[in-house]
Amino acid sequence: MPQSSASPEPLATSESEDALSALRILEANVAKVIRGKDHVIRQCLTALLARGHLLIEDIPGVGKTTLARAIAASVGGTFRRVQFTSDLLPSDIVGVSMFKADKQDFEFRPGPIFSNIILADEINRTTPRSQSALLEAMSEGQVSVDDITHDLPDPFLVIATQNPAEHFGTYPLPESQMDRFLLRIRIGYPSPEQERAIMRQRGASDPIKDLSPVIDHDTLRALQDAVEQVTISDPLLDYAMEIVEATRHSPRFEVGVSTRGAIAWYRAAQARAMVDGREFCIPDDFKELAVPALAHRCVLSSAHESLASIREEGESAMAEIVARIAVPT
Amino acid sequence: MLWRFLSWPFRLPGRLIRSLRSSRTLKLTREGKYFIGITIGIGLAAINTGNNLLYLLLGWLLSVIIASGIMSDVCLRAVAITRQAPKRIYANRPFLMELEATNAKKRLASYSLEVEDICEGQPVDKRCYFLKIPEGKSQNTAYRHTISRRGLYRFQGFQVSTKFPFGLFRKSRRSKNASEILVFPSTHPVSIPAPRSHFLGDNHSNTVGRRGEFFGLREYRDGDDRRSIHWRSTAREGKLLVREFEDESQRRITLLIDNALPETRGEVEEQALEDAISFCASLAQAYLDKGYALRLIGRGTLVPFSGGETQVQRVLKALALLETKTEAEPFSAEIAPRSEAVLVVPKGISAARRPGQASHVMEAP
Amino acid sequence: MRFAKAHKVTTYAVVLSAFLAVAFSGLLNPVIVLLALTGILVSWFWEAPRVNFDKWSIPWTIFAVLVFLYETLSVIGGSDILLGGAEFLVTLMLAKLFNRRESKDYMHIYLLSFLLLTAGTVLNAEVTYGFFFLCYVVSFTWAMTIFHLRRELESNFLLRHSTQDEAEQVRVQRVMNSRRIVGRKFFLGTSLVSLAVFASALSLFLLFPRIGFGFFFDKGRGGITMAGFSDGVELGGHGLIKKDTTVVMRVEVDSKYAGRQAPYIHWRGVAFDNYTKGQWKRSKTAPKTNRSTYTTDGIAEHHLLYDKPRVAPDELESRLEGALKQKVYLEPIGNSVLFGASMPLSFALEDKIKTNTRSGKNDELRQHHDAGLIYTVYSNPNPPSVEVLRGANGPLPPGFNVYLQIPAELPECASPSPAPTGAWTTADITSECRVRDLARWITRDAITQFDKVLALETWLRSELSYTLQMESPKGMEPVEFFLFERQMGHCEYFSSAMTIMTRALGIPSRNVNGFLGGEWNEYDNFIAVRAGDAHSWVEVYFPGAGWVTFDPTPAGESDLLGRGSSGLTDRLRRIADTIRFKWFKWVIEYDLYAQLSLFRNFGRSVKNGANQYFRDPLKRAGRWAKEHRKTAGVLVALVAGLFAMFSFWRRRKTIDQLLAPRASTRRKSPVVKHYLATLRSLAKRGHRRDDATTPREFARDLTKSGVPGAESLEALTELYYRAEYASAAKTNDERSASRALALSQTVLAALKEARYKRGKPTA
Repeated sequence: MPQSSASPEPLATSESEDALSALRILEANVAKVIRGKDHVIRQCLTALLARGHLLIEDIPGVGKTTLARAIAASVGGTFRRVQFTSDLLPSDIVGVSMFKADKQDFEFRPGPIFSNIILADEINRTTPRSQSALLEAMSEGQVSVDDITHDLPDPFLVIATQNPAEHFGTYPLPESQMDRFLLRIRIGYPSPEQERAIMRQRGASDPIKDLSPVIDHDTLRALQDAVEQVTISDPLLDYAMEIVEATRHSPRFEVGVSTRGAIAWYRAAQARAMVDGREFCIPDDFKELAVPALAHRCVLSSAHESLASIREEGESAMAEIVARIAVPT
Repeated sequence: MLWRFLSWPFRLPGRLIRSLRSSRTLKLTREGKYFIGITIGIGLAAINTGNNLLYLLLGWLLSVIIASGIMSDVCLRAVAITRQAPKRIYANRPFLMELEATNAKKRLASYSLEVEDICEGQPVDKRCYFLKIPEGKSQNTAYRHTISRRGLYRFQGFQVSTKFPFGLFRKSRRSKNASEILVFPSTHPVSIPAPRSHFLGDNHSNTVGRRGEFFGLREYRDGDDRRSIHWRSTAREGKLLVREFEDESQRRITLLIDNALPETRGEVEEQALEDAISFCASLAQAYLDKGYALRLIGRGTLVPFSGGETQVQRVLKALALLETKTEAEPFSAEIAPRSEAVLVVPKGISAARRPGQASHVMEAP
Repeated sequence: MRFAKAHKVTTYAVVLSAFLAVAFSGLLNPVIVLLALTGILVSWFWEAPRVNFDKWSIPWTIFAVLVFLYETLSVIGGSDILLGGAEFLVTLMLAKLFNRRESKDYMHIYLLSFLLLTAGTVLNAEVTYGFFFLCYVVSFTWAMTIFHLRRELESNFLLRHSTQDEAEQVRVQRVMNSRRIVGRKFFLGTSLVSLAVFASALSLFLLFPRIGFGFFFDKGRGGITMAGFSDGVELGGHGLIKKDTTVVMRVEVDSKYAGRQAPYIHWRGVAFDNYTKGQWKRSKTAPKTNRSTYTTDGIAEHHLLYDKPRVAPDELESRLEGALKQKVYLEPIGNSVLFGASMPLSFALEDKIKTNTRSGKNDELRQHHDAGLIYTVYSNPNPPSVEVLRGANGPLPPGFNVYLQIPAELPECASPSPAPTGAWTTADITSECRVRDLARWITRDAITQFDKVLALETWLRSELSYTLQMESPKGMEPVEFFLFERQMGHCEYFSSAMTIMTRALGIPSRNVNGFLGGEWNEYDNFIAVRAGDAHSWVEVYFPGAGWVTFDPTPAGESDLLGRGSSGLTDRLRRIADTIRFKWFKWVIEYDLYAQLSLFRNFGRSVKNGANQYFRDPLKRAGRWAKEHRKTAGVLVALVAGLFAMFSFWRRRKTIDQLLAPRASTRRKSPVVKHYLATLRSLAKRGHRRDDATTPREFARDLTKSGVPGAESLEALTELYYRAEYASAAKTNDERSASRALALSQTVLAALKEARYKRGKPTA
């Protein structure tokens, strides 16, 4: 995850109240465009605050692009959408060193990755080489081209998508790469009432245009730093560790959650607490994020045909563990 | 502390019941039998002659027996054994099963322990010996074992015994430690059949990437890796030219295994199937080593396309657990037309409902 | 110590222990002992690779066969078979020691050593056996343990992994040289084990019931049987009287009679009045012992009245002033006689309902006992003064005629020989009644009865000799044979002769059996009276003065058991004696009697100890408390308070440990308490939170299922969360506490309401 240049400072009380209310406004802003998916919006904000990235495995057309654009608009950041195809080159993502004939030298042209919010659509359609170009940039926070490193912007959020239905000619992300994403979520179809409302509304102008930034980058950075200060009491930690241990011993998982995954989940819980407006974590933070944060990091014992079944098996195994472990009181 | 001391008589029945239930056995060794014989002899002599010194000897002999029992009990107490199997175990290939014995006692070492692993309820006939395990420490040893058939094997626990201290009695205890190992079918190096040329066209990847075979030269495009510039040709042509490679990761192969045997089957047929499975595993290993993406289809088995080490693991696992079916059972998936596929059949067995479009049909040698 | 070396050292310790246990019996040929010791020493250095064993195996076999033949011949020739066997065993052991090749050989060495030890049980009954037995136990434990480890090592590393021969050989060699396997801890541990084994062996030894069935052999040693204390004494056997060292009683006495220089005490037991055909018996008409018994506090005092039928109690008391007090610990000697120093005045012992004290005859006192007896005796050791005795005169008490009985074999003759005036010898007496004449001749110059008795005593002491060798009188009357033919004998002859002669002069006397002297043991402060101290002497009655003790046996001869001086060697000898004596008593001579007495004494001492240390102090404390109620109450309260504080302080520590991970301050938060209380009430009404459900989920589920009060529960849950999980600074304000309380009450109220609204679902 990209490191913030400022040292983490605890928010002063009044500042923190302002910041928390800013979060509320941000949430409400995005909710204007994405109806009936408060849950999903919260998870996006969690990823944003935790300086993590999101992986959405969902069928096309449920609003992934809209969501990403709405967040970008609300945060006042740049937004780029990259459609991953099988012939996409790494340079198409990170940028290109172009040979300028007049200067007889190579000049760097930054690629779409140099934006605040990136939607990497259908990441499973492209070659592993291009995938790794994106993923490495995500994890390091910088890009190396021709031995020169360029920093990525801050805030930086990648929302990648995988289409679970198609599997012909696809390169599903290998498990070892999956844990670069903080959360793996699904959006799913809206409820019938919501869908009706959306259909009524669509056809009118692009709703994103009506969105304006409601939070500035500095506040956002301050919030991200404040996430690290969220209190987690020892019983909660024990609860989390118990779940992590259980994944390592579960017969349904070949490989359980790694330490890196546990740390990521920990950070996500803190971010979730902040999104909820608290400066301390509660068991629900951990429990709600268990499946999104952990299921995709575990290697399954059984082999599966499709992405969808892999996801289902992973999530159900994770959910079973969570339903089994006692919550601290 | 005081409570523990005072409540000892009340806890005694529980301890007795537990010790009765726990499967501890005591056997006499050959020396032990002589010892008991001598004890009885001395006892009779003492009773008959009334010689008090003989009574003294008798008392000592009996005390030795009691002390032996207690000391061997203490030796076996709080000793935990764990096993560690290697990651891949192949049939008919010896492997080292590592054992670690931990002595959890705080003040007493354990001496002279013999550990035997228990597989499928039977003791594996390889005794591992620990001369001394100091208190609180662990010791490792390993035994070499060979399993002749593929499949899932369950280990229930260990038989820990000791003849300490005098070698008169052998005290054993069963320690529970369940684990499973999966024995893969044995593999041997094979060469993969040559790909059918007329399939090459459609499957041939148009994408270019880094690895793969040399495809050709083309003009430099913005974004190309500077390292792939072929300078010699560039100098000759006067414009930037780069080398192009074919991306191998697009190569795909489907392996089919016909695990059907007729209703009446004998040892010959079963062995033929085993050989076929073994051959199939070897082929899978060969293909995957070459970087293919491989899929395994059998009757009642399907391992979807994937590549790399994990796929080797998945395919070997599927083959290890493969069950014998009848011809009635169909193959679990269809082969796409004009896709590279190899069908492995057991020698001398013919069965119906085999996919006919396989590009290669190979009989296991 | 290196592993291999440790094995060798302990094996040799075993061998030496067993060998010395047998060698110290003194019965083995000393040459053999010396050779064997040298051999053992040499064999220490006799091992591979210095020595080629194969070369030597045949010579050793030949040697063993030769020794076997030698021993067989000597056994046939008459020597003890066990001894021969033991010597052969020693030879075999030596052969094995010189052939220490593999584990099997060591096993044989241990077996041979055990056989030697077993042989020692018969050959050597001394304390030395006990000592070497202990050495054997300890070294056996060491040696066998190390041997077992070594054998396991060899079999497991050499045989199983024989494919990697060389590597394993090296490994075995390394282990043999390793110092880490048998270190100090190991020896300490095994020593403790062997001491425990030894203690257990001793306990089992003491506990085994000694009931011999004697299937094949006769019981070697029986109980203590003593001549002279049964119903009669018989003169005229033959053989050698062995001096039995078994202690029959231990007596604690006044300091005047304590110490090695103290004069001999005659311990009086039984008395016989009738002598016929060489046998002393108690006749049916012998006077019964006069006694008066007073019992106080469970102690019965039997006062012996002798010739007086009745004595007033205060006179009885005054009699005891200045008397010699003895506390007697009587061993179970198989009869019921009570012994006391001559002349005993009163016996005090526990008054038992079951066994009662019988008055015997002839001033004996008897009490039956199985396991020994402890009692107190008061005796008058000083005879009446010579003037009183000389002036004794008067009629004999009724029934005292028996004390004048002389057997028919020694009748009065018609023509007694007159007493000569000058020197004379017994050969000069030629009459039919030689014995009576001899009595008259001896006492020709004595005037009073006392002087006559004294003359008899003096003459017997000086003129005749003491011997333990018995000779059969071959048909002659034994006393006559003794006085005239043999002129030497043991104490019974002397006392019988004097009693007869005294009676021949018309002076009543009787033959008394008991013990004389004993050994003063300064380590335990008692006189040990042994069976070998058994003695016979005479009591003579002087009317008006009573019975007086006379001992005609020559002095100095009874000292066979030794009284000892105070030199260092003697002192050491006495210490060794005590050890040896205890060894004999508690090990060699341990039998059913000793067992029962041990158990009874043990039980009694436990009871006494319990009484002494528990019951009596408690009684005293109770009495004191009754007297000083107030102070007692204060003390009790103080002690209880201290105890409570102490236990509370100790428990608090563990409670702190329990609470630490939960941050004890939070536990005290009222919000948490209210929440938990609410949960409990909900649980009682059937709404239980599943373990894996979070509190918030639980509250929301309740809201969804329309449980009354659920919304308040949700709010309470949020308060609880803040109280439980937020950092300490932000919790515990009163507002949230009271709010929590209010919410909790709302929930409970709603629940209660719902109970009374049956069947009406709340939205």
